[in-house]
Amino acid sequence: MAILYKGAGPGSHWWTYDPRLTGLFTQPIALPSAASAVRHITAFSHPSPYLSLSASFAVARQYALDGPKGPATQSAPGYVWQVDTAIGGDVVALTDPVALIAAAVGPAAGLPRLPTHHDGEQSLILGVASPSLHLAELNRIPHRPGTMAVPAGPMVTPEFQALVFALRDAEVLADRIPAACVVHRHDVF
Amino acid sequence: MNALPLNITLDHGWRVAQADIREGLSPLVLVTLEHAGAKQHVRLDVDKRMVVDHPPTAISGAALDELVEQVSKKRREVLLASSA
Repeated sequence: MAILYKGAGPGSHWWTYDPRLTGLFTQPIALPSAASAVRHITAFSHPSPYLSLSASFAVARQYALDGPKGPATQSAPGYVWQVDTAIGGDVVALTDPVALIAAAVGPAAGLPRLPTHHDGEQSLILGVASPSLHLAELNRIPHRPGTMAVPAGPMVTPEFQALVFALRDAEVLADRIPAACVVHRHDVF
Repeated sequence: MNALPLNITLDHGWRVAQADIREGLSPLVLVTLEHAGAKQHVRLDVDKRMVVDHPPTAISGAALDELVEQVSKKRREVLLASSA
């Protein structure tokens, strides 16, 4: 059982169409996999085998505040759809992207460096979580051992970026949510 | 929310009139495009460096890339100034 949220800004798809009638769904053109989850989270979410939800109402609200019809207002609010996967009797397959991506990386032993690792400073995570706001952290040349010193920025892989984005957004992936599981619409502005 | 007036010229008479920038780590920025008095909103994801909603077809991909770059830079300036 999980309570999850989906933000829909004014004029966006799930603002225009009521998922209490249709359910939430995506139109996949690729099979679900760790690679497609990384692509969904870091690059583009349409087309994708996944639909993004959040365990955090606050995060979903942020995504509901703006849309192609403009900012959410009292007269035209954004919507946060509340999903309860325990309702309806259908099996709802949820994917924790952090677990999926971490499991696909494999065991640490024998690898020189995991795709989920970085070689930067601890503050690098700020740059990954918000690259547009903390750009300098992505360009800061980290300390490296003398013989390995190269004047290059830190190594950030798509897998590492996906993990940070997923944690930032308390993200949960699904391919479909039945209509019966969409239990409430919160209006936000 | 910071409503930031802009005047960025795009292709075929389109221009960016405004960017609505919200506090926090949300990567979405709402921009208002104008053309001959008509307005259209599109959301940019400045972390993924992409346009979320369908932009006017007259605007080229190169112009959209430049738009994302400029809006991302403006957003950074605004948010850093407000946190200083």
